[in-house]
Amino acid sequence: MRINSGRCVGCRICMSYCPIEAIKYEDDERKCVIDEDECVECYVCYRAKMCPKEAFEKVPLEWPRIIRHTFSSPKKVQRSQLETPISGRGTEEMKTNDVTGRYRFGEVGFTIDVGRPGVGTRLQEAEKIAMAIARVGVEFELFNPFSSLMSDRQTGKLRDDVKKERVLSCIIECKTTMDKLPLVLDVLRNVAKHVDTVFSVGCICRVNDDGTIPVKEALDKIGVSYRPNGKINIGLGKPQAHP
Amino acid sequence: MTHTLHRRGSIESLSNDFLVQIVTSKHVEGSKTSRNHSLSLSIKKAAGKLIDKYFNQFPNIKTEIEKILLKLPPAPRFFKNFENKIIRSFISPLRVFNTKSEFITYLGELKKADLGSSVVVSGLFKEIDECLERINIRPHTVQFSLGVFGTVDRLPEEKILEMTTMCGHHLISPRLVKKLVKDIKDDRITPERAAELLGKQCICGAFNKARAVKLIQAYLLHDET
Repeated sequence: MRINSGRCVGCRICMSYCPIEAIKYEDDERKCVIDEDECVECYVCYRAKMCPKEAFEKVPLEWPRIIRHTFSSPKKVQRSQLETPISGRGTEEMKTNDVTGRYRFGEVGFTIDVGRPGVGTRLQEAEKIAMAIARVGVEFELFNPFSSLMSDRQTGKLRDDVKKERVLSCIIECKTTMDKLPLVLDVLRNVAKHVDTVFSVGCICRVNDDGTIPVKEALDKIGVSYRPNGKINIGLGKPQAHP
Repeated sequence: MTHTLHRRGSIESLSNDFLVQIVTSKHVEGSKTSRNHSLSLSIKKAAGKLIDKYFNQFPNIKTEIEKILLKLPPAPRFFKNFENKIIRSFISPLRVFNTKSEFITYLGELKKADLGSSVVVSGLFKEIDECLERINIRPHTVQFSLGVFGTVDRLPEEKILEMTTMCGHHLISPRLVKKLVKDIKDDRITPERAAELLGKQCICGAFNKARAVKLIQAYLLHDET
């Protein structure tokens, strides 16, 4: 995205809209410019149509910059010949677990939303997290856009050409056995001290037939707090996966 | 996507904030053929464009048509799949509800319609559990939010996060929230209008405007003290 400097009158209305403050005002030019390095190509500024002079212009996105757009814009406007092998920002995760059987009894799933809420992240920061949890033996989700950028899914290492790209958020999706939940959380708490971003963590599990929730019990046991709100797949999907 | 998982707020402010997502899996266990059959996908895209052009701009009409579609009598088995595809193309993949009764009614309709799509609900666990029990639905899979890690000092204040985290993809700028709050204080707009303008940035529809109005009013009070 770019601001046409010939059209921009420096009203600064647009600066309120950018979710990661990538639009700056240049005092000497008295115009607004987009910091291309910070911009995540989410197109919020373009879609909002707030500019009285229609100064926002789409710039054709090629690889690897198109990754920013793929991860940051829920409505993909641009397409490129080279894109992330798997489109979008995240996957179906637990939303279709009744049908896919992705998370089974005895397993715990993690969704690590790197850059969220609203800070954004370079993919190399997400790589640090992925590599840290890979060391304790998690299994990364195959059909996940972030996983599709890994050069080595065993270690969580990313392709070199994508590491510097900045996105609004990307989701690391993985799972492991329930007994490893405390270990993974320890690793996440540790790696949190070494990343230059924020990340939001979600924990997923099947509900037992008797209604008990293994993740809840495990978190209560180790004294880890969780929010009072969350998500529930209510099991209406068909055909139902084998548990 | 986790987009409805990490909504911030106190238990009081999250009360009666329910979301329902309908998701049809592209990856069916044991299925030999992918659902991304090109013809089926083309039809779905074309239907989506038509609906977007003619119905999404009129949310009240769309809601009424959705109600009718969900109440259709069960089709003969041969046509059931086709009927389900039409209904799934039309109905909103994500709906927000502000009362337990509306939430329960809608879930009941989805259960009866038997669309075959997965349904995910978001909200306070205690309230959701009560509602699911009323219509005899048992949870299948649960996702908990463990909060935010990392450089949390970069986050805006909590009162702003309560609003921005309602957008499923975090497209609402904290600066926009502050600007609109200032506009309200300067008597340029109402809290309702501010909520509308914030909601316009959220494409997925997870933003709860009614809740936003309450949050904005609470923020104004907090700002004054």
